[in-house]
Amino acid sequence: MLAPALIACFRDPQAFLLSASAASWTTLLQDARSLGLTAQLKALFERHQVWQELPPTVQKHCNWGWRYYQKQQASLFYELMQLEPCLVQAKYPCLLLKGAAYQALGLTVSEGRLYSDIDLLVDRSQLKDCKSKLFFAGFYEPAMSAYDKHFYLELSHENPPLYHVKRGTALDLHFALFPLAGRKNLAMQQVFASASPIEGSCFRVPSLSYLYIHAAIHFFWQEEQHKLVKDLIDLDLLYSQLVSKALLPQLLRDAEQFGALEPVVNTLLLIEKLFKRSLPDEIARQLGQSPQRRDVARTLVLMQLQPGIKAHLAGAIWYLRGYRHKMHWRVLIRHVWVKTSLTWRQYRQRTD
Amino acid sequence: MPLFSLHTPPFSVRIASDSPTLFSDLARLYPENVLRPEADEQHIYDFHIDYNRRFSGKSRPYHFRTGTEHFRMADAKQLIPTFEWGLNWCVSAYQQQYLAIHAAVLEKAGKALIMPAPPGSGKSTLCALLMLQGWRLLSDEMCLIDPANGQLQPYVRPVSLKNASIDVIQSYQNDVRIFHRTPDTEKGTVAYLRPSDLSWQQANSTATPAWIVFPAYQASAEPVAVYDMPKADTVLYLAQNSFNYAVFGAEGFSLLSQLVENTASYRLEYSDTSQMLALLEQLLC
Repeated sequence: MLAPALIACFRDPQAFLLSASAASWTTLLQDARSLGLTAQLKALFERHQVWQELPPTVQKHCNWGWRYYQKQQASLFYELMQLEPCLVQAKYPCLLLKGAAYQALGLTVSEGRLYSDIDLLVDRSQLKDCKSKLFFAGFYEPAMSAYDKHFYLELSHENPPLYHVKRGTALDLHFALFPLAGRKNLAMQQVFASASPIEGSCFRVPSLSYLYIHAAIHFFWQEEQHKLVKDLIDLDLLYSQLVSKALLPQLLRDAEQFGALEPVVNTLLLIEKLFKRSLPDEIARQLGQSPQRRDVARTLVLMQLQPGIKAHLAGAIWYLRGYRHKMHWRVLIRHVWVKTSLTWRQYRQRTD
Repeated sequence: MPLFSLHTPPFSVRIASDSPTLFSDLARLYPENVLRPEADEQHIYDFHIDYNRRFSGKSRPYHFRTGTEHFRMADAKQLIPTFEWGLNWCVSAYQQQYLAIHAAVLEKAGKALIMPAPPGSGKSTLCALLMLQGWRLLSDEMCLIDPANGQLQPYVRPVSLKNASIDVIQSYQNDVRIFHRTPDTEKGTVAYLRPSDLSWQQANSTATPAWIVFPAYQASAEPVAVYDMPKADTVLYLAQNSFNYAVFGAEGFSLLSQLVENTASYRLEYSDTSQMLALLEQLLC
């Protein structure tokens, strides 16, 4: 199977460097820019000590991306510093998720990784208190319809996005790792139990295996198609870090206890195939026998990475499948009915 | 799909388009060594642009895209203005090598003039007039400052003229050739002037900044008036009109401060173009 240029490069930068034509580099730079991965390419090439061997144009583009990343990284840490005095008063754990957590832990995946908002996780029972603390720190919730608000709080996994009144910072306040409408019954208490404090900060971060589980859930139980390559690269980098710390057995135990073994098993199998990683024998055996293998779903992912009509077809099925995971069918029917009725009512009000 | 390429230092672009006229239309604006009928297989391009109709049918618009990023749609009559704006968007959105300011830049006798100004101030008109008087054009849109040495990097492209300025240039020099006059764009009527041969020949030669002039065309004002600009105001204005000042952070502040410290800044109000040009030449040369 022909892998996209970015996956081929992240799989083995040395091999890519040796075989790449000028046209391949042009494609790689183009794809990396579209997905905001140019700075991650620079980090990759430096980790693999091939930076000096790169064509000057590639170095130039990586440096463009790196400059932007440095600005983003400074902004992220500045925002976290601004949040500290407000959330240090919280008597409950406030966890950083995704990009902010990767940065706070200094993980390999954070090197050059861009972010669009800050993701925080608190226990659902503390949501109101946390929101009021953030309100006094300058964060507000834009107006929305009563149904949309109900959707966020009762069916999704996060509060409506909060924005800082002066700085415009976007903050996603989570109370779960996956939409409640998906009825996955995930053991959220395990995430809080796994978390550890960040030295000198009021924030905590989930363990590495829960960071992987979170990334796997959002890759495998969702409908979006445009970020598949980026998400796979995140997963591969997290995987490599888990391997280096011999945490794969822990990952599978945590995933099972949490109730998200399916996305973990299948993302590991995808990483093995796409990035040609050798899974440890015991892990390979467990995955080989796992009832959580979803061969069709993984094939849909692989099909979407190829150009052509098959990718569009696979994308359409992936979209429907993603919604099936995110919303139980009864919830989905009700949601579609309510949204259609509201849209129709608004249309009638405008035309009357 | 046929590929062609545009080599405008410091950026090179590979273009895929199903338009039967795009290449020949662009060939009226760019010289042969810059606009090439093929893509060089040994060259790594800074940007790849897709400029195609996404669905069949002659009335369907062209989509200007780089990678998965969509810029804008254009009907066949507005192919060139949208291409030029799209190229500006690629550079202003993604390049982080130079501190970029929305400004025209010209050079004479080794000294460069920077003209930052909002739309409607007469920046492009003034830029075109100075080029026709023998100044070397570095850019009519983007001032690129090299953080390594503070020098100005040319990015030579056709001068974009809008609305009344087209006739001003035409009446200033009867034999001047203006291309692709396109009415009813979102900026009104736009047309293009080819950069001078000198500008293309020295498209790789940087220039040292010497003056910053803020032009302001005011039909009811004095024929021409020049004021000194306070340096602090100049720094702030340049920062506000930079595409990537925030990305450069402290380095950007230091670069702009040095630039303003080492140059003379003026505000130039005018209603009479000839008198203004005479005064400008006298003031600067």
